[in-house]
Amino acid sequence: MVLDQDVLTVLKLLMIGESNVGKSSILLRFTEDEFHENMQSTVGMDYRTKQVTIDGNTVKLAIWDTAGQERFRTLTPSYYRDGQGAILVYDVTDRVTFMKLETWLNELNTYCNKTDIIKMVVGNKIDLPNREVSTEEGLQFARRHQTLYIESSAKTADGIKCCFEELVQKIIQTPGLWDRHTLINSYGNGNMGGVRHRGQRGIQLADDTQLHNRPSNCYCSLI
Amino acid sequence: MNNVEIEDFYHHDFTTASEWEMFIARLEEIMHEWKLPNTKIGSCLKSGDFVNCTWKENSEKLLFADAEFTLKRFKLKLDDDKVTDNLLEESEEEKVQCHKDALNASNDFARIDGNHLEIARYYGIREFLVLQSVKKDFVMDETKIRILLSSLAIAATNASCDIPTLVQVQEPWQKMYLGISIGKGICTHFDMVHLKKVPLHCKYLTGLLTLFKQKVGEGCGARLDPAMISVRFSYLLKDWTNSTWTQEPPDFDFMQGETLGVAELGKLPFGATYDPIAELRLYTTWPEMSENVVVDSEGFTDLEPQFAPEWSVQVKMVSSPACLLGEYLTDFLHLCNNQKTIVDLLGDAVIYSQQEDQTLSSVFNVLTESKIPTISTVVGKATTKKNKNVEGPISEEILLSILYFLFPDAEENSNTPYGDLTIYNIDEDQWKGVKTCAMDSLVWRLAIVAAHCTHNLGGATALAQLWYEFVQEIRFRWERSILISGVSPGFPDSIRTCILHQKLQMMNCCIEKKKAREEMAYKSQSVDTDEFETGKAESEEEEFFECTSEEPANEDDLTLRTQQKASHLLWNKPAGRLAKHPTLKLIQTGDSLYLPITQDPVPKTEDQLEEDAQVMMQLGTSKHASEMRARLMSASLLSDMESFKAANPGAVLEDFIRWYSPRDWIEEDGIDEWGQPKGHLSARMLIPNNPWSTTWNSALPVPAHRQKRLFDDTREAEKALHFLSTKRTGQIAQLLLPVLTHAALYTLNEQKQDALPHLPDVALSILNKLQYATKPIHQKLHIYEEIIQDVEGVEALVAQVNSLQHKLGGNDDSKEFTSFLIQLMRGKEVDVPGGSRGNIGSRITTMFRNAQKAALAMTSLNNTSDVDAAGDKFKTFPEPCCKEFILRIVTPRPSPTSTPQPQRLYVSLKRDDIRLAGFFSKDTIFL
Repeated sequence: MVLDQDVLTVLKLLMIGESNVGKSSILLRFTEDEFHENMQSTVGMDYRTKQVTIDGNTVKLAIWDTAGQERFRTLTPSYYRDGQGAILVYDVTDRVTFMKLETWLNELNTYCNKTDIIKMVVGNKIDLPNREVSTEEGLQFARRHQTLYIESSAKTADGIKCCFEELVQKIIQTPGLWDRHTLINSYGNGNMGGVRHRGQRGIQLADDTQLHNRPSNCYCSLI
Repeated sequence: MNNVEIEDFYHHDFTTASEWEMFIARLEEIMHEWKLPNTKIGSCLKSGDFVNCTWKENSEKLLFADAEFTLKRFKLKLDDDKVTDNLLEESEEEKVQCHKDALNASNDFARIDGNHLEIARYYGIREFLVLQSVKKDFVMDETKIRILLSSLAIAATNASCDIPTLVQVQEPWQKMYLGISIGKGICTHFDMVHLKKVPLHCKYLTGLLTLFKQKVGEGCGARLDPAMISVRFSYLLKDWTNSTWTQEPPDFDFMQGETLGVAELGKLPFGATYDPIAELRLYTTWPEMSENVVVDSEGFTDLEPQFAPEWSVQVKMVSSPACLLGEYLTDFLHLCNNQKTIVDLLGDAVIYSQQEDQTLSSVFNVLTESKIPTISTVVGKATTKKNKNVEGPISEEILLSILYFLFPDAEENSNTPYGDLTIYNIDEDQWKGVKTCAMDSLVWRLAIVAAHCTHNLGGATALAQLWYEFVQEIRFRWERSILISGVSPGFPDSIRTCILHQKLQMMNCCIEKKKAREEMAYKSQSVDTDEFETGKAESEEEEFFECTSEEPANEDDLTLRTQQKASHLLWNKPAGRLAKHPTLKLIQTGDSLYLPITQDPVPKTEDQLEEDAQVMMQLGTSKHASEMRARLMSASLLSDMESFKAANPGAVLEDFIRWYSPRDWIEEDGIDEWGQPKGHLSARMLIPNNPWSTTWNSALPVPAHRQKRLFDDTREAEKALHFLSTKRTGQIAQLLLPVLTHAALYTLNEQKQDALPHLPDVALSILNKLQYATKPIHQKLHIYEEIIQDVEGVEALVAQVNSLQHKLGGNDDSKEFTSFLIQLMRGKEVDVPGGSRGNIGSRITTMFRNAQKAALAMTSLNNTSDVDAAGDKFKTFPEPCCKEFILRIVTPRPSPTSTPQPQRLYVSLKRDDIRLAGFFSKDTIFL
């Protein structure tokens, strides 16, 4: 068990996509390493947590699992706020779920107050034989929308761990995404790890160098 | 000097070397280290080189016995240093660098910032060494000075270094330097005189010239050529008469209730409160003239500033000018930490009047039908009851104009109506990402007005009063069902707008619901309830009102009532249908499947969403928690199922699923009896007791308008009102701070100034900070502090440029003038285009004349008898604050047979100090 003090940050991840593509199954496989052939359809949304250690940094993941039914879309997007990572799932054996990804991406961009949220597209159910969407198509989509891409099977556990790990790694490498979250403040403030330091102000410095270099009232930068 | 006898080539004995010798040895060593011996001649100096090029500095420490010294070397780094190396090879042997430089007039009078660099002005040289005592024991003693000078001379000779070497003597502030340069058969002395009292004969050029010639011609019978003279007079202007300061003080008359200029209410002030330009220095220069053509003596002078061929100016800014916008923001920021409540500031009357208003208005609500709100009735109501009056520093008249500005729809012909906020598309806006509100909307105006009140009308108390009145108006509108104007339509936008704006959107959502409900109640009064019910069921086109006036008190009541209703209604009487599904038919009955009218989604503000998420998270991650969450989330599912059942009598879960979650309907081959494909529920929907089937079983056929409201407008409105009315002063300020900062940045961005071409870029970088700052619900004040400092800085710059533009350019916006302005803003000495006869020159002359007139008026006021005399004495320009002269001559020294050598004298004459810096060379070979 990792002590709270060692947790670098808490990251909020979202699972979205059409209903019955396996969002909850992926999550269950990841958090409990279990798989149920018949998993209940999520009502509204669910929430799970898991601590992972990636590159020596322990982060706590708060994962929000949403229902895919269209009617729930009036309900769930309110939980999107402040998400740092989004996992967009489709079913490789059902082209419709793949086509709908576009809608989900729009949804995400509308309701998420971070344009730079890291997105990962996941083609699930690759263990099934009747595949309709090829890897190339999936990759193409991911490239076009600047997302990560992976294929997985919650049943065989293929790609599941990798999916979350890659996403988290990417988020941590993008310090502006997670440094801004104050959840970490509850974890004492004396023993901040080196990485957290870097992360905490990392992107801010990049954003502000122009201003920091500018002594107040100095005219130079203005001409 | 080297008293160690060399007895053996390989064997040296330095054991008896004195401290002095060691010091000299060290000096030589450093000179070699810096590669000073036999330096080559550099290129010719060009005008401006001293100021524009960088001065390279080296420094080494050394000891003389136990006294510590620093030897510094300064060298002007010219851009084209290397190119000229071989060009001047021939003349290399004959000339010494410092001699060339001393005769070069292109950098006369250049003012260079930096320690010791005044030497360059005094002697006109581009490279030199300075020896300086490290500790506070300054070199004052004549013997010491001589020893140091000799040391330098010996070291430089030994190292064959002809670069001038100087010793700083006396106290540092005196900037006294003496020195020597030896090489190529010439020896140059650098002498200096610095006196507090100006000797009479040194006050004018004539006297100085005599002095110079005496010194140069001393002991040398040769006839002297005419000397070349450069002169510069400096004039200082510090008192700006009114006409030269552009910034109109902000018009706060409206705050005094005189001119109710509403236009000002919505604007933030901008600019400096007093002139940000501290002083202007005018340099009038006469470059290289022959001594024959100029006379400057006690009786007469040719050196009138108006006739100087070259004019240049330099300005000095006030170090941190007080700026209006910056002050506004800073004041407001300080308020953010104020812990006082409104009651603390305004007294208990607030509580009474709030309670009273509630009872009063509920009576009004029933009695009055009037839909025209008037703020004056609200304010008037408060003022008529004198004992319970809420008093604040803002007078009623001003308060009214402010309120009409905020709520222009309360007036019939308002001058300041809100624009169409529906077209508000923030994504295309340059302000994208700033989480505040639409420009010039209600919250925007409120923030600006709040800043006005805070700054001008009574600080925290005024803010409390304004807020109290604002909340009263919101409450009034809720009670009278009048929409709040100036708020973007729709649900609270928790992504793009600030929490205050969201709360007002929420209020509007509630008011809309309430209005609809009231209209519905009004209608249903005239129609018999039962008839209405049946009529509704039969016609789908009829307008639908989802809520009735009667509210179920609790859930049990609802169930009971609906059960009664159900038994009254025939089972096949559908209710609450929205539209017929194009293809689907009910599996059991074959009737068309109807989409039900469902309850609207629930509007929520950011803090409520946050709360919801917290609740969901706090349930934990166990299986039980998941079930709890499913149950919490199933309220809307249940509502939809009930609506569905009501609209489709005889429907089964399969029907519902086909509409609601089509992917859980697995189609099979074959067609059922109604002509649609057969199918079955997905495996997960068939799990016993899964939330879908249990919810379906518990759902009763109730149309949306008869269901328990998912959104209780009354409760939500009261919550929002509570949110607004219980805020402390600091919290109020924090609610408005993001918007105020946004408005400030907008004001900043509006400033157009050619001389600040990067203004938009700087504004953009502040904007980036603001985007980040406005994101969280709770404001991080330190980021705002930074932003406000940035805004202040830019504001000061703009004010400076504006002031200079007004003083020197008027309406001139030509490129030439703009580049002049840019140079000036950099703090440099800039040539005035056209000199005294140019446009800028004549403006400067006028400013000096006005200042002189004003000064004269002042003295004549004190001394009335002198008026006439003063009139004669009147001059456009004051006495120069500094007169500088450079005298040059090339003449053989010390005897007529010596080779002619350059001689130079720099003189600086001020009111009470004179400095003479002489550069006197003599031949050391042909005496």
